[in-house]
Amino acid sequence: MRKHLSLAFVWIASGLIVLQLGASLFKLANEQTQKQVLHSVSLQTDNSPATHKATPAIDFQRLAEEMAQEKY
Amino acid sequence: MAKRKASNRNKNLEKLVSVVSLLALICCWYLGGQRADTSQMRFFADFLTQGESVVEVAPQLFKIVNDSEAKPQASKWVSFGSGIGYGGALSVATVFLPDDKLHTIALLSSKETAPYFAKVSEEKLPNALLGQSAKQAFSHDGVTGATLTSQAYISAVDSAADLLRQHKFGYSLFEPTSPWQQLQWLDAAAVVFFIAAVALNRSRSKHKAKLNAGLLLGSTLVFGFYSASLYSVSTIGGMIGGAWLMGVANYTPFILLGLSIVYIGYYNRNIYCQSLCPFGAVQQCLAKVGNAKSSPIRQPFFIWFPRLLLLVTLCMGAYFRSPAAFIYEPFGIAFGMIGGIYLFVLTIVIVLTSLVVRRPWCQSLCPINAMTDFIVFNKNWLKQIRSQRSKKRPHIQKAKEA
Amino acid sequence: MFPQSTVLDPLFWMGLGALQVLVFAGANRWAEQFQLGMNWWKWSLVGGWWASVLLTIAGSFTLLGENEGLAGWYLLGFLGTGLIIAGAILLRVLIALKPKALS
Repeated sequence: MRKHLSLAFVWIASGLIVLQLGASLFKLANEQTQKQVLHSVSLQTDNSPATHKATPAIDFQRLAEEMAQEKY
Repeated sequence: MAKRKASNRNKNLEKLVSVVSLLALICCWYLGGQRADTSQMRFFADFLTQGESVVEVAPQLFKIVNDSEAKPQASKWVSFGSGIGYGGALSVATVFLPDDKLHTIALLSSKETAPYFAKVSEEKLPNALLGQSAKQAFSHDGVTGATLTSQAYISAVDSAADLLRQHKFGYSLFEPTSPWQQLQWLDAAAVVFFIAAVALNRSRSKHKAKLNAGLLLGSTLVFGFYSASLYSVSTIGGMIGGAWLMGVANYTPFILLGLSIVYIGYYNRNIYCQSLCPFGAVQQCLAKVGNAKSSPIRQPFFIWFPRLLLLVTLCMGAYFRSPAAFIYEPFGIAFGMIGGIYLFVLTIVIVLTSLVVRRPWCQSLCPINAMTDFIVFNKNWLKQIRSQRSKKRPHIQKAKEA
Repeated sequence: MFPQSTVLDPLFWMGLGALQVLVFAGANRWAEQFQLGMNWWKWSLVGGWWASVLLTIAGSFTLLGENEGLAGWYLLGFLGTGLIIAGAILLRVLIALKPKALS
């Protein structure tokens, strides 16, 4: 039983390690090909006028019908 | 006779693999050096708007000028700075407004392990530095759990600001810390603990097991939970790559690794694993709880796979010049709660398995085992070559005398 | 609990309910079989541990259901692992505190 667990552990751990290394490699390789810097922050100095976003029209009737039809 | 031939062939194969591994590492290092550092060019491409160009007024300090204007107006400044982090140098580009306020910080390169910088940016440390004037020194509280990376970032910004201070106002506030100033009490503690481990391992005391447990406990608290200074593949990579010569924020893992290698060179054993490793201590503690027994896997694939992992990781670290980016041990999660989802799951798997199997990570996938095996193998090989040479010498001496 | 499907919810709770019945009905029998010599404070410890397990499962799966996937898995991972270890420690303690057989 312990031997089986040990074997299962090694397989799972190996898989996770390969995934982790793959993810790191992918990330670093991408950084090279990207045209942007790794990370940046800037002060918001320009005050653009707050645009008034039109609220989307909600069809309440349809909403009520759909909610009535929801089943769990 | 057949068995002896088989074992000889195995030895030769292992010798070949050993040499090929070293060559692969050197090759990756060389190829990595061929990669151009285009980070500054990328920064200029990103941040300069049309009609703007830069004029270098001092090393690493540039003035942004508008091509269209006849007379140069109050202009923005760009400067580059760097700080020393956990894995090595971290470099930034900063843009200062004409009134000396910090407008933009761009991270150009980092040798930190990815989750640490992610934490720094999540806690909005970079944003907190914006708007401050270059006339004063930049400082801020570090982010808990990522203090070294935070300090490196702040230091990088301050060193960039200092270039502007020197050029525009004629004074400097930034004191570059020499790498040797980074040594602290933790490094002395590392030496003390290691000497204690050596003394314990070579003694024949009745209470050896209990003293070892005590040493492990102390080490877990100091080098595990307090400072997470265990050494890992990234430490090996950093040591080979010479990051420690150019400056790292924490020397403790390197000291522990160096002492371990010296001991292995003399005694063919790595006492760090048995007497100092915090992660091993955690597994051993859980083994006591769950009455775990050892259950090593002896298949050749699982003997060679960890070695392959170590080699691949070192090669990738060498190529990208960033050993701290390629960690696969779950120490960060176990002692600092920092790391990605895969390492998180790996930590849980190891912790739960430790209840049933004794030290599962140590006896299977730990790269330190692979490193120890490699050093011992090559040490014995060199010893063999030396003893063969000294055997031939008497014959050469006699031939000379004759 | 399971945002992507509506049938898994009732199935999950039915399964957990069945498990509860087995646990409550069988706990006494298990303790007698292993001769653990249970008394009121030992039962409180075991009860507290079992309640923590249920709360952890309920909490993390609720987070999963609220589309807080990362939070749910991390809660399950941290607390779940901690509880499994606590359970192992509890078992060792109970076995160690077994009443010695009177010869």
